[in-house]
Amino acid sequence: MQNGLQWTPQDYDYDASLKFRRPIYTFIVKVASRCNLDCGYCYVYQSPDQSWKSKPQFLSSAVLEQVARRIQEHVVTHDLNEVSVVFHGGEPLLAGVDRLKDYVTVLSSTITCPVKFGMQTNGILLDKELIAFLSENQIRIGISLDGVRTNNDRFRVYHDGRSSYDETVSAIRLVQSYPEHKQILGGILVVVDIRNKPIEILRALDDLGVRGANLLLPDSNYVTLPFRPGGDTTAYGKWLHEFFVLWLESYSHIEVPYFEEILNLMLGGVSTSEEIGAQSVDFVIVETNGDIEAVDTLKMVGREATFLNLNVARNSFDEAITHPAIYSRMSGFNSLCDTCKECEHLNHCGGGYLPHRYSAPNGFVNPSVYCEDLKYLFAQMRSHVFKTR
Amino acid sequence: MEEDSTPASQTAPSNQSPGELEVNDAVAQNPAVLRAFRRLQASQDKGDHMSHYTKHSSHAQKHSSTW
Repeated sequence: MQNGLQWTPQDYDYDASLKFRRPIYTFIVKVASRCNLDCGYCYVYQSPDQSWKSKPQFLSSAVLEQVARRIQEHVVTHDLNEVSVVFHGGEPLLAGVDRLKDYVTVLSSTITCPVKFGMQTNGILLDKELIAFLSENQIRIGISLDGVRTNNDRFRVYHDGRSSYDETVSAIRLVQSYPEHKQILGGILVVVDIRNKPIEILRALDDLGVRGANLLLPDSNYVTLPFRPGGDTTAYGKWLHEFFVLWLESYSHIEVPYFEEILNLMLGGVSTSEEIGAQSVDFVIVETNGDIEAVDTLKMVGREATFLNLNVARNSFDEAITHPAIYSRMSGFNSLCDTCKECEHLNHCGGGYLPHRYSAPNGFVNPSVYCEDLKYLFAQMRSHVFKTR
Repeated sequence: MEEDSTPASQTAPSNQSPGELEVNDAVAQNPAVLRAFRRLQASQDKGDHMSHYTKHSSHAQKHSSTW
């Protein structure tokens, strides 16, 4: 089940890495392989991996039953007492409320431990019936919005180029009109664009009254480089630092997990973020055709990074864990390059986000393409929050 | 797959000393810093397991686990 990409260093210590192996707790299930938006930065539709075109538009009942059986098999094998299923896409709400109800029914009736459900959506299709369904099944959602209208309209548009801002904000407002909105809306996802002003984004989040928002660096790597005006190697670090200072001083009532996880790591904790820290990442992706992938943002690398020749029809999740694309993220620091292993920020960074490490010659055995940004941010955050010794 | 209740972090290299940093007085009571301490407390609870998927959702779930 190996493929030609380099997921681990030449001196990777397989045996030493085994102690970081763990079961899969979170199953990100693609229930729709199409989207009602055409975001310019999308890692699904704007990527070298165009396999979405040949995938079923929606997760079928037959594949869903296979997914449910495989999760249950994993639960039994490892005596798991709880798992999470995140409905994802494409745009998962395109599947419609009836399919979503079926998915929840089948998964809940097949899996014998408690299942926490989640969903990441652009929110546009949310209506009263869907919100009632989310509430009844305690499904928490995250909604993607990049800040104010001009920020959001740069990338988050319909297929005909129209803005999606008003519909997305309306969806957030609709959810917030329900007494149980805090149980439904987990937070807002914001993709970083250094042309946007941090203060405008923070004001927009505050005006919306959201209690949490997370930041995502653009899906870049050494082949598809980040946008860096003037070639500034710390442009993203400076932008994140500006955001951090403003947030800490005036908007810290809004939870921003990206920064809080870095602080947690600086305090000696373990991150819950797959982008920061060297924790064992314990999720997999299941596509609408049943294919198992390590993480879908690897589509920005290409099909060779996403096609693992694993499918729920043939393979268990225990078999999936034996693939280097997946176990390399359950290896502590062992899967990182020497530069990262020797870095003073290793504990805070953990090599950054896997897809950001890709280069053609070295595969994923590189520092993050945001390495200098992260080092700048960590140094600034540390001096801002902690006493110097 | 070896079963191990150790949290997913790896022992720090000898040149690092996580957990020994002291918070500046000016931000010690900041809500964000207090939440970071709560995250620290949660991550140090070896009976719990943290799931990671912030890229895929804007919230993470915490699983109580015997693993």
